[in-house]
Amino acid sequence: MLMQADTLLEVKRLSKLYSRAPGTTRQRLAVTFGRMLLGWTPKPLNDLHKGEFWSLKDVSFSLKRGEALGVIGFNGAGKTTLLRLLAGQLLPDEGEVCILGKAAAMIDLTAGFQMTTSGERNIFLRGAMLGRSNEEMAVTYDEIVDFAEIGDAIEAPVSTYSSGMLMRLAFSIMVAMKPDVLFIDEILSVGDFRFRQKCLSRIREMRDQAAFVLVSHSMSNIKLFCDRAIVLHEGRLAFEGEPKEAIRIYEEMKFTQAVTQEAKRAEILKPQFHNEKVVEQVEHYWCNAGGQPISEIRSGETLYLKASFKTSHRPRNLILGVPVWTEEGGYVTGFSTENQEEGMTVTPEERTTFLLKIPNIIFNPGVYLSNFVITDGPEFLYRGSNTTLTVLSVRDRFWGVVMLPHSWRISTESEELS
Amino acid sequence: MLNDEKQHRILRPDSRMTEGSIEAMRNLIGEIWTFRSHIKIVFKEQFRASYSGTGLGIFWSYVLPLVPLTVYWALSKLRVFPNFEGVDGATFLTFGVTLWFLLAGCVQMPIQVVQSRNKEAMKTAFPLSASIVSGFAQLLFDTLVRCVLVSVVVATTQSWPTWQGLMLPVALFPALLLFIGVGLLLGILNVIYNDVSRVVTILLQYGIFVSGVIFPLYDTGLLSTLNLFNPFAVFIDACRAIVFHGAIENFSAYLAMTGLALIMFILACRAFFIMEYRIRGIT
Repeated sequence: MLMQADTLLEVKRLSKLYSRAPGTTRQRLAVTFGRMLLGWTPKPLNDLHKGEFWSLKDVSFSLKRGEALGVIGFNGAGKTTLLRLLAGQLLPDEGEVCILGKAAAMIDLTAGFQMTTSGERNIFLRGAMLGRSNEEMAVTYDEIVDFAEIGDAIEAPVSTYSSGMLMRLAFSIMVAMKPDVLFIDEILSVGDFRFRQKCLSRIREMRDQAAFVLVSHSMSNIKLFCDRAIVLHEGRLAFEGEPKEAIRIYEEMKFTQAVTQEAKRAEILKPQFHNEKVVEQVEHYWCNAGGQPISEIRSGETLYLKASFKTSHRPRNLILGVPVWTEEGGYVTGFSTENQEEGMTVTPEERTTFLLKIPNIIFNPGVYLSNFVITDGPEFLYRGSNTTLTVLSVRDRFWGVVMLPHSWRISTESEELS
Repeated sequence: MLNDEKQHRILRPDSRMTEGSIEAMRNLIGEIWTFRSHIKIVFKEQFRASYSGTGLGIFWSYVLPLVPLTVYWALSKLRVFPNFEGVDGATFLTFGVTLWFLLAGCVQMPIQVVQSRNKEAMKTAFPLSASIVSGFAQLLFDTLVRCVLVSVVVATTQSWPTWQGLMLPVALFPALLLFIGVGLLLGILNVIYNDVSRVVTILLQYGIFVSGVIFPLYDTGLLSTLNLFNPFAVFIDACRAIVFHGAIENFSAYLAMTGLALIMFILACRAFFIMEYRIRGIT
């Protein structure tokens, strides 16, 4: 591949194929293995098999010394796959990557660290991985330790380090290697604000000597640090150019996705219905004990739903109901007046208010969707959505949708459970 | 302008495919050399992990490799196994079983390492070749422990080896190449077909009884003919012969197997070098 002057990284039509079906991956691997044994080159990827998809497709760009490229996109857009391909951790299925000079990658925080070994020893080990001798590493050792701000902990096993400390050490070693091209994943999101600024400042110092590819969800980092940015969307290059413009496009995509999210919610809550001839002035909302509308609640608190409406006639069999779904559309539960011992009734043309009380809500943290439904026996009079309810966490760990009250007891053979 | 004055790395779908066998071996050795310090640490970690949490600690690392040998030794003491080819039964058995575990380990180790470390290899840049070498270090340790027991058996039974026994490492070398090569190929195949490791385990379980490890096969008709093509039998027989009789009796079979070993090792190294990148992350 021909590279322009000062170009350190050139990526041409880079593509990576993944499969959701492990069998398909193995089938392709078997073909490659067979062809390799026969001395043939890999088979071109003409057709995709069942379950296969392009994690990255036809991505091209180049990077010169002194340039920093930001990579932005949603989760699953192919950002980390791109970095792994650039770092040589994976082979592309199509296209090529050409790197001039030494490349270093910070993709996984713990990558290359021997967790049971001291930070000190790990500095030399990582140096060896990057082709540095122990003598060369000894020269930069103090600089690394100073920059990492780890202090005496440098002699402790890295398994005892916090993620911030690990990031600081990884970053310090990496920049001390003075690579020509540095690939940085979200790693700079770990650690305290001050150290992140220190890292960015160090990268700025290295700007003239190296090229950077920075994946980040922090738009301010992309804007402040990068000369150019690319937006990846579903594995494809959606935009390449000014960081400001890239961020605008990304934000737009986020908005479109939010609209899609709204559409998804509407799909879960449909059908919406209102027989205005029979029911009017319908109001319903989640509220607290004081009757103030709420959209958030903590697990274990008491939740209320206040509903009021006026009917044109006295329904024979008035039923009120509140079905609840998870954000993904899983039907969680329903609250209905059908379970009420005494029947519900209203006076025609008179506004009536109902209050649903749900003590000690056992929903796990998440977003919950719900409808308020009024029926007269099997006939729907009204079906409208409540505001989205977000249940906040009170514990660190939870499983599934609800947490039923429970406790554990322990006993030995000699004891009896009472 | 062509930027070819400095290190120039190109990654393509056919990367490594064009490398010849010698280049592949050179690269593998380079990888192992680069990661030599890591190999040492990984071996130490695995060694410690094998007994961590146990009451007797490191004692297990010395005892467990000896268990199968002591079983056969005990059986020979009960006269289940007589003397063979002028060599005491206990010596014959412990020597053969030690070689068997070493050679079978060369096949199984790459399969196990590729299976367990494949995903990690993608993330850590610690190549599978280096992981396999650290696995072999454990195998070597087990073998050395067994060798100590074999020496004790030799001394107690007074089945003294000949001075040509010093040539044992040389005689054993092609066997190691062959079975490491087989292990590397099967390690890749096992990623493609998960059944491979299970089939290998079954074959090796039976193999010990039909490879002249526990008793010689010269008077077992068809089996003795088949064993001319069984590399385990050929190499174990040759090693035993050189140690206790001073010469390899079936030298032509040994020579043929040595040739096969060289070819297999070279081919396997190239195949492993090419496929290592392609199997990463597939479990």
